[in-house]
Amino acid sequence: MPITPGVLDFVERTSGVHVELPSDSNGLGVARMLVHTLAQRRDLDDERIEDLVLAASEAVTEAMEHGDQVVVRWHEAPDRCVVAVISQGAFLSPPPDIPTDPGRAAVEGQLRLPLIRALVDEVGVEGGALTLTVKCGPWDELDD
Amino acid sequence: MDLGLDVTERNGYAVLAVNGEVDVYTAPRLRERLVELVSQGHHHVVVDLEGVDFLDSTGLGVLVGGLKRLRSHEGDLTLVCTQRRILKVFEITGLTKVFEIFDDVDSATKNAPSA
Repeated sequence: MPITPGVLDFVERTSGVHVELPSDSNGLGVARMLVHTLAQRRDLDDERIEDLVLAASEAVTEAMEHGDQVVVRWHEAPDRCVVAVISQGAFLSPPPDIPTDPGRAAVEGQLRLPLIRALVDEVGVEGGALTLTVKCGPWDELDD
Repeated sequence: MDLGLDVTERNGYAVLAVNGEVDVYTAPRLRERLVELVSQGHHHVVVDLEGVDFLDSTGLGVLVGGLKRLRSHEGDLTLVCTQRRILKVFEITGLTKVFEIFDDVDSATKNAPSA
């Protein structure tokens, strides 16, 4: 899976949804609901929506361990959706691949970041944000 | 968030039916329940995930931890799951090699535990 530079730049340039959430159970639940609702509006099948929701939930969980608040942003282009999870100190390097001993990694809490990487098309780490990109079809303009 | 954790006994197994969303905030309750079952002498546990709407890596960690704890008591922890979205998480992480996963509780408890 490629680690793409410049995604945060795309996020900064495009308008989208910007939500600040408290680092608690409700905040995490709202993050999942938000991503699910926004992803449903696009031409994503159910499995890809579930994958994106899980990836976003894992990213938000990681960010919540590093601060009292987490910022989640959602941006769209005709060919992709991007979830950016912004945190102070949570995301310093790209997520690694799934480890060779997943049992041990699961117990040690080392599966979270590799799982994110496995669930979306592209993952990026830029300026304290983890960006999750899913490629998708264009908006159907006749639908509106 | 609510997490349902109901235990029934079947053919020598403790069947723990989990309902709701398992994430970093609810997984500790699942861990506590598993630890409690082991301390009560239940060493053969079936965790029924059919009522789980969401399972993250924290939940995976708790299940693997439970499996290790039970194996150290000569026991076992197996899973019941047919939901595609939940099974996928086990597949992606390679944990399908760690757990025995059944289609239903009847299959998981068909053969009484030997130990």
